[in-house]
Order: sequence, then C-alpha cells, then structure tokens
Amino acid sequence: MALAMETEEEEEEEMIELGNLSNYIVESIFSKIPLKSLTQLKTVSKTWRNSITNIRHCYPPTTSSGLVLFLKHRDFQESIFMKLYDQKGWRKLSPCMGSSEKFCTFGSSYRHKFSYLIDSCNGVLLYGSHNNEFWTYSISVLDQEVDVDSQLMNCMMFSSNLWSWREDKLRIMNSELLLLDGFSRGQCCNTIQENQEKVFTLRCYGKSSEGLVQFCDPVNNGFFIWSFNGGDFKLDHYVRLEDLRLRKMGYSVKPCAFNKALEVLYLHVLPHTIVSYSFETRELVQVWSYIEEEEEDCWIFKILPFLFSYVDLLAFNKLRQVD
Amino acid sequence: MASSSKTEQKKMLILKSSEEEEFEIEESIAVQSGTIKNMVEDDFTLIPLPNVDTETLIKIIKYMKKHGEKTKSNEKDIEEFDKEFVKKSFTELKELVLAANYLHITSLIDLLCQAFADRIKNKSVKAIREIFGIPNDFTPEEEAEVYEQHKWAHEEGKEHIDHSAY
Repeated sequence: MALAMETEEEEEEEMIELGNLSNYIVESIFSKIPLKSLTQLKTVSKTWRNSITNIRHCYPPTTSSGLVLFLKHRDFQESIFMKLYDQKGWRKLSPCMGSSEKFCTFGSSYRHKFSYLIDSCNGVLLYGSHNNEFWTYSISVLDQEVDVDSQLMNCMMFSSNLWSWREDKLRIMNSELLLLDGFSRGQCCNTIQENQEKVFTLRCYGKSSEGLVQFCDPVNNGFFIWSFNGGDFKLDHYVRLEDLRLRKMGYSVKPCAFNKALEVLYLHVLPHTIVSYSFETRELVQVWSYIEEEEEDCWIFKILPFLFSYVDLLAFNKLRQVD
Repeated sequence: MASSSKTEQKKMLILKSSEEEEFEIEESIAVQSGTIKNMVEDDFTLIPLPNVDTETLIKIIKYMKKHGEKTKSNEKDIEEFDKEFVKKSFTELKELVLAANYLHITSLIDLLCQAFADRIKNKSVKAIREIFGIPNDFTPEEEAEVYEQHKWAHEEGKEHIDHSAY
C-alpha cells in the first residue's frame, strides 16, 4: 500500500499522500496528538518528519495560559497577571517576550486575605485561602450552584471571557492536598465553570477527569517532572541544571510551572526573573523580569500557573471554519 | 424537476454508492453533508457518490441519522454512539474519513481524526509504518540523527509502547 513520497515544500496547498489521506486530514490528526507523542512520530519517515516540523513552524503553539505573580516590595505587595502565548495572536512566532505580553497589574494591600488560584490545569482550578497559618482548599462534592452558606470564603474569580477579576464567595471543605513549599501537588480539586448566568458550578474531580497535575521535584542536579492524573505518578522529564545553560549561575533557580501540552517548563530565577525552557526547541527564553530603576528591593514570593482552555496546537482549524 | 420549496412533507433524497446501490434518506438529515447540500441546492434528488462504496455509505448514513436527531436531551446517547462508532479497524476508519472528507461532514471528520489520533499516539514507530503503509526512507544514520535531535521525546515517561498494527 506504499505510495510515492513527495518531498515537503513550504506551501500548505500541496497535497501529500500519506497512505491515501489528504494533507488536511493528516494535519487534523496530528493536531490532536500530544506534543511528545507527535515528536516521536518524526522518526516514521522523512515525509512525516517534514510534515510535522512544518506544522509546528507554520502554526506555533497557542494556549490561554499565564502566570500570576505576587511581588513583594518593601512597603507593599503587588500582583501581576501575565498572559502567555496569547491565543488571539497565534501568528506570532516568538510570543514569549515579556514586553509584548498582555498583562494587567493590580495592587493589593498587605493585609488583604484574598483567596486565590493555587494551581490549574486544563480548566481545573484550585482556589485556596490563607488564614493566619492555615490553608484551606476546595475539594467539593457539590454538583450544584454555590449557595450562600457558612464556611464561605472570599475569593477572586477570574473570568477568562471578560479577562477580569472580581470578588466572589466560595465554600471551603476538607482537602487532601499535600502542601509543600513551591510547586508540588498530590491530588487535584475542582472544576469551576461559568455558565451563562455567571454563577459558578463546582464539580467533583474524580478519576474520570482529564485534568493532570504536574509536580516538579528538585534534586541536586536538576528536577524531575512528574505528572499525576488522579491515579498514579508518571515520570515525564528529567531536567539537568547544567543542560539549561543559565548564565547567571549564581542565582537560585526554582521550577514554578510546567505546561504539558507545549512541553515548556517555567523557572523562577530568584529574585525576580522568570524564564521558560522548551523541551522541543531546547531554548531558554526570558519571559519576564522586574526592573524598576531605583528599587532593587523586590522579589517574587509566589508564582501561580494558569491554564484555562485546552491547547489547540493547530489553531488554524478554527480559522478554516470561518470561510 | 423537484424544487426545494418549503413544504410540511419530508423531502427524500436518494444516495447512490459507487457500486450503484441506492439508499433513501431525508433531505434534512442528508444536508449535514456539505457536498450533498450543494447538490440539493442545484435541484438534485438523486445524488451519485462515485467516491463512496456501499459499506462505507451505510455507515455514514447511520451516523447522519443519529446526529440528525440531536436534541438537548440525548447528548449522552449520541456520545455513546460516537464512541462505538469509531471502534473499527484502521482500514475502515481510513475509508470513512476519506468519505467524510469528500462529503464535507465536519463533525464526522473531527470525530474520526480524534479516533485516529487516540489510536496512534501510543503506537511504536514500526506499527505506524505498517498501518499507513509507509516505508522507512531513513538510512540508519539519518534515523539515529532524528532520534538524537528529539531524544527528550523518546526517553523517560514511556508508557508501554503498543506494537500492534490494528
């Protein structure tokens, strides 16, 4: 059943026969395969390698993801919401430069007890609040609209439609999360969804959910990256620090987020810089750095990742439907 | 002769497979296919489909009938149907996606592509070559080079690789 293999050109119009399937179909299939798997498929044949490379080039990855940074200045705290890989700007080939990113800043007073996002993955959001020394999270078995009840907590809900924060209330129940400093999680939590009436529905995150939580485990020479799907841990990557070739080796480096769909690791280079490392391109890119002329006395004390929609590796599918 | 005026009576079409077998189907259901819709707008009632064999056409009609009666209440039912629908051999899936592409049935194309993706994403490279009938045109050195370039994808976290070719 082998068919003649044509060499890949840059134009998308060229029909590539891969076992009878048209180019469009093949790309549609590729777009639904996770990045790691897709990269493995490059070794199938030259045509596939070229086709996959071409797809990754012409349609750079998009995801509605971001980071919330909590900065501590000498006299006040500041929160910065940073959006990465803006889905609307999918044509940009290098979206990861701090200055062109869309972000909004809002200040918070030192004593404010907002509850805020702790972890997120594929639309699963975990909110927690810090009261004195204790954290409370939300793992809920509610499958109904949030009721005005006791055990309410104030929280800031983020609406990915309106791109804005607003205060809201959320009920807190017991949590089985492991709490360690940094980016470690044992079990995930809630789905918080907005329906049209702008009320929140809490859903239980059982084993059938598709959410996946990443866990960065620092060791002497680097980090292990595990993923946890509610059932068991799986080793995804081992990153050696020396492979990262960070120039400022004097500074401490901590992993702060991992985008599994894009296979990008975010690192917090203390005190106030964030870089991203892509496993695919093996490039280290500075994402953000706090530079304020007079004030060196500032550091990031918390970084929370955000991912609020599924990744569409081939965003052009949506565009095609327009015509 | 037949004009597409809006009457209460359900307008029927006839789809003809490449093997000349004919199947009657309601127009309202058949127009889930963009190709058929265009032909209906050109006043066809007998729709020849020389690219679709009988077996595949039967499956496609089944799909369209199920999805034609989509309401708010039977979403789960349709999900179950879709799940069962894609439990077919690779050859059947290939025929189906070719036909769905020709017929421009977007939801079916998406469903089939997703099924393909799910089935091949954990497969070994050898199995993929067998399924799609692709010869290995890398020299051993070239293959090693590509593997080396993307070592990160091949190492760690490998689940059990599926070597079967179906």
